[in-house]
Amino acid sequence: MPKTPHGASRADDRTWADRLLAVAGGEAPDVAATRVDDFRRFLVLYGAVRSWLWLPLAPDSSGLLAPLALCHTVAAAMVFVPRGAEWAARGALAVVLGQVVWSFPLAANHLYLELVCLVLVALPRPGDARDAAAALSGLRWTAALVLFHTGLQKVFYGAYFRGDFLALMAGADERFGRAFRFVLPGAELERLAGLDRSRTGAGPFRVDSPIFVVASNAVWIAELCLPVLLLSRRGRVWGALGGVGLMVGIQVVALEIGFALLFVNLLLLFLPGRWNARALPFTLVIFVWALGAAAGWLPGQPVDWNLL
Amino acid sequence: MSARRKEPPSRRANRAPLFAAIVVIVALWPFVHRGLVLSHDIDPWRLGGFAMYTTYQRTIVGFFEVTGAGLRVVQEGELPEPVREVLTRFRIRRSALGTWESPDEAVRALHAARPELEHLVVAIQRLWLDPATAHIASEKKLLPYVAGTPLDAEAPPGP
Repeated sequence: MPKTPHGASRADDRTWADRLLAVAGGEAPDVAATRVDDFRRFLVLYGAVRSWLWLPLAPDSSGLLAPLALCHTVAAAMVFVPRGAEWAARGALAVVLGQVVWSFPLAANHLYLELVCLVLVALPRPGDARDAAAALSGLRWTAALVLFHTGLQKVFYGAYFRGDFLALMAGADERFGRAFRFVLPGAELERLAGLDRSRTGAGPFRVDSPIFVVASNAVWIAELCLPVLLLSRRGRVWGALGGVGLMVGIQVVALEIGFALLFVNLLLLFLPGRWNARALPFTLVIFVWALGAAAGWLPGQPVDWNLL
Repeated sequence: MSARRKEPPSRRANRAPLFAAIVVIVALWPFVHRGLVLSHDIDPWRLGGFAMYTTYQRTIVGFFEVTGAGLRVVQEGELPEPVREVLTRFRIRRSALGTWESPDEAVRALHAARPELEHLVVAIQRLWLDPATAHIASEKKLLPYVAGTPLDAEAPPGP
């Protein structure tokens, strides 16, 4: 029987779920299965490294976190074994679920994103290419929705239209101050840094710099527009490349390597070809460096990179 | 295609609704999250609403003893370590969960450690960046307790 892009049967007997997933589908099921395998390898490996990096941060909880990190490592080894990949994802899912509960309510948003992605790569039944195609569509939808919501939330809170939030961060956070020193005069940065954010009436967190305001608005506009490209067949590649560009830009201002690695790998799922597999060696270098730095063997501090 | 990738037998159930349900949850949760920020003062940066780096919000919690001369700060440094931990946990959870996190447990622990502090007030101040003015705005709540038990009515905000 002819198949829809994510593998369901023809249009006349498609369910609402089939139609929804078809929007972000398009590959033959076996191609989709390979793409999901590649992403699953990255995801479980990423989680295992993160699990070990958590340990020094909470030495009092090592009795719980160390066994979880060990289980995650076993899952990371299993995910490269053809018949163990789906089970590895299920094991990693259980570990991350435990970590979300342990860190609740302070769990970072990218931990929830990791959890959602793990559910999607753990659900396919081994050897079922139709499930894998649905998982690929689910992952792409997740990437587009998360990007869209980050933009929509900025609209809801209204602190980007005149650059107020970024002005506050330029004074509050060294990373932001460093990045914005090219568009804001030193005296203005000094003024922003001197404002007491814990005092009612402190401000104004507003700057007289058109470039700064344009950059602030460009962020939420890009976050709202790129998902539309991602979910259109013709614009998919441009949407993914634009998303990767946005991630790089965000790293210049706010170093969030953990979120960036996860999100860039989600965006790579929109490109034709096995880009997740191609990117894995580079990701491994970052992982090895982070673990080496955490152990004190290499320079740097993974905490400062927000890789956790 | 490898043997592992063969099409499934037609009798296998279609799991598309499961995958689609996850997509629907990811699509809808941030709207619920926004509602919870408005209704319960939860932290926009937490609980998976993808509203990190959107705005500034901070919650400051203080524990006060009611005296004839007014409110006096409870000296937390003099409290036993386990009680201090309960108060710290409350601060963290209140900041993230907003009004969902009641101070009752923290006050009970405080009262158990210092029974002489019969009349207590928990002051909770929420500060945020007001985009209308580009200044820090705030809202203060004073929650009165007698002998570790909350009074029904919330006290009017103090100065």
